[in-house]
Amino acid sequence: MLELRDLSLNYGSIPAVRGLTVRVGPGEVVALIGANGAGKTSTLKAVLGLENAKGSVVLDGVALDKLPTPARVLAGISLSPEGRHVFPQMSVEENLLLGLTARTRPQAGSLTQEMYALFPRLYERASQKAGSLSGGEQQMLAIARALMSSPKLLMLDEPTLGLAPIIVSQLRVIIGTLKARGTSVLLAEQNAEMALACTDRAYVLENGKVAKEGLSRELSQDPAVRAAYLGLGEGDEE
Amino acid sequence: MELLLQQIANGLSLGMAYALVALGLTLVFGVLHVVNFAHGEFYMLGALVTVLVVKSLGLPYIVALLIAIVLVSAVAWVMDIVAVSPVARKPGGDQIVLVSTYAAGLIIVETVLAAIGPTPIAVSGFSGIVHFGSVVLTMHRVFMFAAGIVMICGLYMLFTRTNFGRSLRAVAQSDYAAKVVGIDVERIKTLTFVLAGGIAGLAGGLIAPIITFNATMGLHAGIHAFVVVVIGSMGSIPGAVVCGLSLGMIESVLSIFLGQHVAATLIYSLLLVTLFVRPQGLFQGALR
Repeated sequence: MLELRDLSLNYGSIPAVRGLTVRVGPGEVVALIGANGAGKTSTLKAVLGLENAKGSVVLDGVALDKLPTPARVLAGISLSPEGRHVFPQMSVEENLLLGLTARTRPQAGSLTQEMYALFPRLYERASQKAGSLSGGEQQMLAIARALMSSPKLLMLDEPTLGLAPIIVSQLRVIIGTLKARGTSVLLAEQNAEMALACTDRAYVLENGKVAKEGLSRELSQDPAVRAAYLGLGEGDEE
Repeated sequence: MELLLQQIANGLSLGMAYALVALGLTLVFGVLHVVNFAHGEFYMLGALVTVLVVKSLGLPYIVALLIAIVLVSAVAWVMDIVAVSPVARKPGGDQIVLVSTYAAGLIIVETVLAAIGPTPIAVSGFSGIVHFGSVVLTMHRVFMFAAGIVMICGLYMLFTRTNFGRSLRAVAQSDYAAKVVGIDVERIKTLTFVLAGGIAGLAGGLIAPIITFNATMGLHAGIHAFVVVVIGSMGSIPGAVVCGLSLGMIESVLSIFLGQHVAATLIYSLLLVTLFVRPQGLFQGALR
């Protein structure tokens, strides 16, 4: 599915991602966890071609390095960005339609209905301007918009940021639903507890490098990870 | 009273030209986030092409108008490639574009002056007159107003019913979000610039039979378009249309009582008052 090989990205002279190698298998849900500034968002931007990076981004065996962002979206990568970035003055439905690509445009009607089935709240708000939605609803919209391109890989960047715990629980359910549908997911998340609870594998990023990787359930028991990212000591119970 | 109504009717057709020129200017600002100082020259070129095609080739006015739209769109495309896109991408590019488009505008005017000369050239539009009660309008003014309405309705349909229109509005709201969903932002910006040029070319072609072509007519139109766009809110399409029509009417009515120059002075004073009282303009909000 997705392979990042020796991916590096600098902002001027400041390195944000340093020689990152990451793999996401078909139907797999993988987390990138780490503190603010660890390189999670930069990695996702590099994958979508929003930032120029060195190294290689390979999707289903095809190198995407020379392709601009629209071609990468068409190839099957989609991003729900940090901060949602919905189009505030456009309706929920128009936002969804903007998620279509040349490949999925003929199925606009069925995909829109599919998203309304997945996110019933959006159906209720279909004609409402996206800027008037709550933070949780905007997050749902950003994810639904990303799914309108029927991506092979959905990238979610900090989807729980600033959301109430009940919305975070809903997001976990949605990620589970996406996994059941066979969509591969790459989740960048500061909320390590949530990320490790709903993913198959995870990479712990520190200063733009992979500090640890492994099965999420094993990493959630790792003393160093528990102390650094879950706020738990060795003897503490979750 | 009859004179007042007559001037209002005349002002509406003049205002439609202002509205169309301002529409292009506000489109470019709303989507590219730059001010095109050469926009008035597209209007002048529209008039020039119309005049030349009718006078030199002997083709009907309506054909000349269509050719003007196509050719001015092509000039806008070249200007985008040469003076806008490469400059706007650089840090501080939105300010550098002011100078690069100003330079491009000067090049266009000087080229036209060198080729055609400063002498005004008249061209005939649609002949005949139409009576609306006591108000009498030339057929061409009626056509001009109707063509403007058709163009505005067409643009509304384009922006709300098509993928291109949705993409254009998406770019106007957020470059970043538009890129995230896979929109080719640079292509949309170029097409917007070309569209704006084509609309200005249409406006120039429509006005040519009324005010007579001259090589410096773009300067006056450009300044009026800026006034319309600032008062109507930068990036607002309804603002450009409503304020363009209003400005045309106000200018037309004031000019019979105070003379053309005093009317123009009052219009520019209105710009200053707006900037002091409501700097965001009357129709706050970018292109949506």
